Amino acid sequence: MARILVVDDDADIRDMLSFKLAKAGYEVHTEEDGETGLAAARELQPDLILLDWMMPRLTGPEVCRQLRDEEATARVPVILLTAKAQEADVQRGFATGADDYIAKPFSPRELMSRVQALLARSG
Amino acid sequence: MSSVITAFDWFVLGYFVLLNSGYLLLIGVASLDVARWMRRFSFAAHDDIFANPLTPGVSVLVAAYNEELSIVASVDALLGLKYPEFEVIVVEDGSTDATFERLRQAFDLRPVERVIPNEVPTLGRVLSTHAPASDIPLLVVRKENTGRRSDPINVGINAARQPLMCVVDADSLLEQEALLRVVKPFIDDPRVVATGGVIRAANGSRVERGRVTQAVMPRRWIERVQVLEYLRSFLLGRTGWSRLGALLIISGAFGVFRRDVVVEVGGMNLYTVGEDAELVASIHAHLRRAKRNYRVAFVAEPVCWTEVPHSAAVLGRQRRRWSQGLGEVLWLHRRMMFNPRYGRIGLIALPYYLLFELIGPIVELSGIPIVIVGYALGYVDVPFAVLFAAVAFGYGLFVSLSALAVEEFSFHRYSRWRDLGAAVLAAVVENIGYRQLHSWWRLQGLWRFIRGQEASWGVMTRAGFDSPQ
Amino acid sequence: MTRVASGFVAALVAITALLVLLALATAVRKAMRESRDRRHARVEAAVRPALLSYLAEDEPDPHELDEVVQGRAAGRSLQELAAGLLTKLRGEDRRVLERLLDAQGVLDQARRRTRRPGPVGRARAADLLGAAGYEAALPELTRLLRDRDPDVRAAAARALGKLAVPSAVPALLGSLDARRAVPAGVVTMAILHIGPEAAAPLADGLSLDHSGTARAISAELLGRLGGFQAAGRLIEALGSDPEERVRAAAARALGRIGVPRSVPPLEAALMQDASASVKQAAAWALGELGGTRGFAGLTAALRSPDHALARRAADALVSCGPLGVALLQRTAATDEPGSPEARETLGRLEPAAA
Repeated sequence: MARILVVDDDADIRDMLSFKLAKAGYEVHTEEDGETGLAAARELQPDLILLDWMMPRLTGPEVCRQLRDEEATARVPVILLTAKAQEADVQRGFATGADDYIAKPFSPRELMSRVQALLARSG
Repeated sequence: MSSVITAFDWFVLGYFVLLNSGYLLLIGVASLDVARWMRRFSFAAHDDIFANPLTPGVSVLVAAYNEELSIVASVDALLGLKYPEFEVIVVEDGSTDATFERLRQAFDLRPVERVIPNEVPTLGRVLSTHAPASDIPLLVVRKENTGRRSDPINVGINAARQPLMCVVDADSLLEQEALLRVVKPFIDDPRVVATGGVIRAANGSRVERGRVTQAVMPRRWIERVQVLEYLRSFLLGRTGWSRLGALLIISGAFGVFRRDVVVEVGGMNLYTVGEDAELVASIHAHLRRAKRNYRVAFVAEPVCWTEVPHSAAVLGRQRRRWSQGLGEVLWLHRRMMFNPRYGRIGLIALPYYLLFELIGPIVELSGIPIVIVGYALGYVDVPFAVLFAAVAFGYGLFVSLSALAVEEFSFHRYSRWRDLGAAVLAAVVENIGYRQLHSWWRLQGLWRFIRGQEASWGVMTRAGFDSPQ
Repeated sequence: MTRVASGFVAALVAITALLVLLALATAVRKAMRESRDRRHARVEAAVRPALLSYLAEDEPDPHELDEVVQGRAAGRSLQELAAGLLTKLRGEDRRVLERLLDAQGVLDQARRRTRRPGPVGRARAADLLGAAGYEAALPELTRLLRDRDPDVRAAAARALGKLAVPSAVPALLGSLDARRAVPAGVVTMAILHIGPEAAAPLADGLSLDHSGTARAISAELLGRLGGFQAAGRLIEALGSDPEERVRAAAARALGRIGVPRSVPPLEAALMQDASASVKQAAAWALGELGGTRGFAGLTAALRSPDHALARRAADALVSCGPLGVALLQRTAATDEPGSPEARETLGRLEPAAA
């Protein structure tokens, strides 16, 4: 029963992903901004994190950077979601330690496949 | 003698009616604009501006002098703005406190080479330039202090490399989408050379990590009155002026300009306290003389919040400085006054500011001693005087409440009934006592302007950077 | 009472009445808004979970939701939620939502709405049709591109972009300078949404029978969309277009597209073009293309009195490899023109070099 943390300030996206992931059998937690998301990541130790880029308080890349700096969360798979999809942004996203990068608008089914793949790889 | 007094009384009443009617006109025009904006907001497409790779980049310029308490939070908030391409340039103006040290620690600043050409004139020498080791788009320029706010901004202009520049105060709190909103006019209309955004008083509101999360009316009356003042003059006054095509003042606390145009007019004027208004006036003067097709726009949506003074002493200094600055700007650009060549700026905006904002306090305050003298000499009919005052007060109150009504009908940022009630009472308080006090400060500012330049610099060194903390 | 005094009293009464009215209107408005928000929240609380679990299914049947969506308020809430979600999604899930909206008759309704008065309604309808990817509405949307209201035109342009139909590109380019124009930012985003298939019509946009704005934007977008086939025409525009912004955009596009035969024309532009912005763009493009062929031009540009050009030349020289870096190091050690820019560029390199 893999545990997934979804951090996004957009309630529609949060809830939709929550429903889909729960239907697929995952245990889902959601947070609406970077700061509470980071705290939840430390506390819950999820198996995968879906992270939005533009959020109030702490942005996605900053959260990712902090996660990578801490021993406990350094290896959690992270997928970044964002409306910014220029080459430089993709590079920055990966540079902060994300494992995958999805541009918005996105295909939820495609996202699910990536989630499954990442979880399978990280065992 | 009594007929002189009566004539004067009628003059003062006429002045009040004219002033408030002018304001009502502005509010009426502005509310049309705001209403139109409200209905169309859902498809204003700010997300597209964010995702578009062709959206012009912005250099955010901040002058920082002795801001050690809040500078890191401010810069953090600026770096978190939602905008595709921008750089933040902090010009540290020879602070005597730990401003630079705080920045250095928080952002891991290293000294870097940065070419800063001399495109606009500056006075103070640049001492060093610093940037973070990581790819955070921040540049900190240290320069020697010369006692005026326009100098660090001009250094920032020289260091800036994006096509648009945004000037903010170190203690301004910007909404996350602020840049998207104030850049939109540039994207919609290539003639736009400058835009201003609404400044709102943040006192009392909940602020987290450099952003206002919930608007709340403050407790002190002096702050409440300013909240209302800012609603009236920024939200509605400036929107109205912009709709009339005569926007003269973009606040130094927040404004976006095309960098090339600013360089053309030589950046900010180094010798006036009203440097932000002077920049816009210069732009108008320059482009009209060159007969270029241009526009100055204003965005009514709330974008920028600032802590307003919470003591009468600090508020007084600020208002005196504003008034003095206004006098200096009007004097510098007196050529445009009543000059048809400068269109609505010359024929409507400048005369308005001269007659109602600059000279206004003289009229407003002279009423009081005249009435007292008249009463002492037995020339004043008390019921008449009371009615007179009541009408003047009532009309002023009506204007303030209209501003409040428009805010409630449109952006409705103050959600609690308690806040609305406080605002209504503040409108009453504003017209009894505050107005007169304000006029007195403005009169002092006017006097300083008339007396000449030296006084202005002396005031500026301290008053310019009072931190409301 | 004198006439004047009674005049004052009348004025006072009038003002007081207006004040009371204003206060009442404001209070009523606030109360109404709050109750409407509460109602809306209640309805949404019922509809939202139903819609989201519907979306989570593999093969949802649009009529499943009919039970939940009883009444106009619920119907409208469902449509708003679905339309809002639509704009954020791609792929099969998006098609599920489109089919749902279609089954509810919403899309046909929106098509009809585009023909009725009331610009706000027309614009919203255009938005919805674009978000839903309703290709059948292409004729209506193309017509709305010439609508009297600027917001409607902008919404139509955005919608055409979302439909991703390349045949809309000429109309979009045309709307840049029409009497009823659409802002450039909206047009560029729409064409970017259409994607690489827009390259062919964009290449046509470079010809001189289009306006300067259209030509500049065509060049800019060809660069972003990777229009390789248009490289020849871009080179032509770089050399001979009368407007500097078109030449500069062509230079940038060639830099992005990365075709080797554009190096000589770029170098020529760098050395001979009359406009500073074109030279700067050419320097940047040579840097993107890399290699030592542009070396001579960049060396000269480094010493230019134009700081912006010198800076771009310095950055571009880095991509010329060791030769370029060596030149920068030599220049940096002197006090000649170009040395500050060389020092700045080398300073940025240091961490990577270390």
